[in-house]
Amino acid sequence: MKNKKYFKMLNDEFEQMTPEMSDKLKNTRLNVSAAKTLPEKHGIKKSPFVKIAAYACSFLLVATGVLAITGVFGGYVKYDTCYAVEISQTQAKSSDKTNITVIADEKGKVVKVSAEDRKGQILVSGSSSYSAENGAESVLSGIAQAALNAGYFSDGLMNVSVISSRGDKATKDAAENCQEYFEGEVENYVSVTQKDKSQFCQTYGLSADASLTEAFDAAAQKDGYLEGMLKKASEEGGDAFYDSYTVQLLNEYITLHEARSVACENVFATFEQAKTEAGLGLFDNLLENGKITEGVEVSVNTRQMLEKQLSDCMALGLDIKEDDDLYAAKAFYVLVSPEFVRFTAEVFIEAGAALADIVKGISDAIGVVSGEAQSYYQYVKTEWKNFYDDVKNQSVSGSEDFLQKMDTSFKNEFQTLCKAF
Amino acid sequence: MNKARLNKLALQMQKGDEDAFCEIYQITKKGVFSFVYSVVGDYSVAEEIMQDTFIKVKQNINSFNGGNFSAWLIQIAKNMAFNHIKKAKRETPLEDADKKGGYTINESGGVAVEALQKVLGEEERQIVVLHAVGGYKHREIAEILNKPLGTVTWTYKNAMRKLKNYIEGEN
Repeated sequence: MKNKKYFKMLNDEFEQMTPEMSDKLKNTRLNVSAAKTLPEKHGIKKSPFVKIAAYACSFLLVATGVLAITGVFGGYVKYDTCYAVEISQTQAKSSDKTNITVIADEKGKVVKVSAEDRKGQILVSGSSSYSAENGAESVLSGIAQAALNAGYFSDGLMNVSVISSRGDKATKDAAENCQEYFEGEVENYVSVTQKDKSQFCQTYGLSADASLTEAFDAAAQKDGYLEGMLKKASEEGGDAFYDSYTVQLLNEYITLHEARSVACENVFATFEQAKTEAGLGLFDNLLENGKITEGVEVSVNTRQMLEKQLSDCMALGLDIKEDDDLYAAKAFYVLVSPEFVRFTAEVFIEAGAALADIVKGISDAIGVVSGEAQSYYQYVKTEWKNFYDDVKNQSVSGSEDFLQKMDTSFKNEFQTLCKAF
Repeated sequence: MNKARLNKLALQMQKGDEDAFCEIYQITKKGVFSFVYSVVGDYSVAEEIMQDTFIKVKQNINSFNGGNFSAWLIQIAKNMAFNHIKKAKRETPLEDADKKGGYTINESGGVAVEALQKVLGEEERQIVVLHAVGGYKHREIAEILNKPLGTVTWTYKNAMRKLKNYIEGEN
């Protein structure tokens, strides 16, 4: 049973069990005699840099603060705060963006909302929360909700960034309040100051004009980025690592391999069926250049299914041309899939530095040829030991048993992998 | 759970807005009840503690100084539930107490709640309920239960595995 299904059952059952307000509670009066007034803004303290994101971010929403000062929204300089909401389509259509501008006065009240294009105008006009009486964070949340309703975002598939040029309180509070909203809706959030962003771009030699997401994506390709992030995470403690973009990358990475693993399993089942139908023996090849070998007869359904599944694999970057490719891929995923399952859990995130290296190891192992496999195994094994020690040092109750099993499994599987190569 | 919304309602409560309290109750009652139930394991006791928690919220709303209202609320519930357990342990001979917190497991609820009560230990129940029903993040749960984040994530993962095995076994 999937967690989600169980959670729903649990929620439904508690919904029915939860009692209504008792008379005693109803009759209790609110004690407001000595009430203190809350500050107008009271965002929750969250890690300021990066929030773990779900894989495959299809859409991006970037709220950029105080761009007025930079001249992007010239003519509104008398106002203190300005946000740009940038909504991007999928990666394949990254150029397809819409921009919405929200301008707030020095008290955080929204004085103008405008959109550059038709899509943005639809989003802006679709919510009653764009009243001037509302704070900027409310308006930004409204835009996000409208975008969500309009199908711009799928659940859990959105990144949100808020950039403040000066780290001023109004922008910071808006960011934090938005964060609450976005976390609830899409569970992804990125918040950096303009200064941090500039420094980030400078460090990795990126254009200062790059959007935050573009900057992250570009930086991730550069040497030293991951190492820097891990070092920073290590210095700041586990919580920072939990929040780091590195974890996002790892999740994306592992998820991709999980998807490949499933696709591989599917295609293999059909492949075997096709071989049976065609009466092919163990050493007879079924596939040639990504298709069923000419002259081999299989049913129309099986042929269509196999072609579709091979195409699914291709879409995930798993290019299966010949039988041997499929056997190799199948062997690999049989060996490492159990580890992916464990790695995707939110367990032992504090030991993520070592985990990152292990995952990288698995990545590199895919391309390893037989001669290099053994030395590579040594490398991965060393990294595994680091991970093992990190986890062990946490002295988490019950971790010894888990680690022992995982360690044995990991070593066995990689030894077999090396032999397979 | 929209925490920003809750904080705004708390602000309205501080100004004497009863409707705001009603809304807070509706939004949070399930999370509070499920958490208290996960601690005490008895329906009627959980109901009583839950009502007392909200009475306390009404009486002490002026002491809420901003920050995370939902965390503040669950902290009150936690203190009341734990105090009750302590008191019950003092008053009930150990041999009469159920292993999972000193109470007879109540069979209210369905398969999911039953699995929760049968399979998980007290701490595991609390973590799963806070996350799955209360909507709290692991970091927040770590703060609420005063435990390291690693322990929370580990316990949660373990608990989910136990639940999965149990439910699949039942089916």
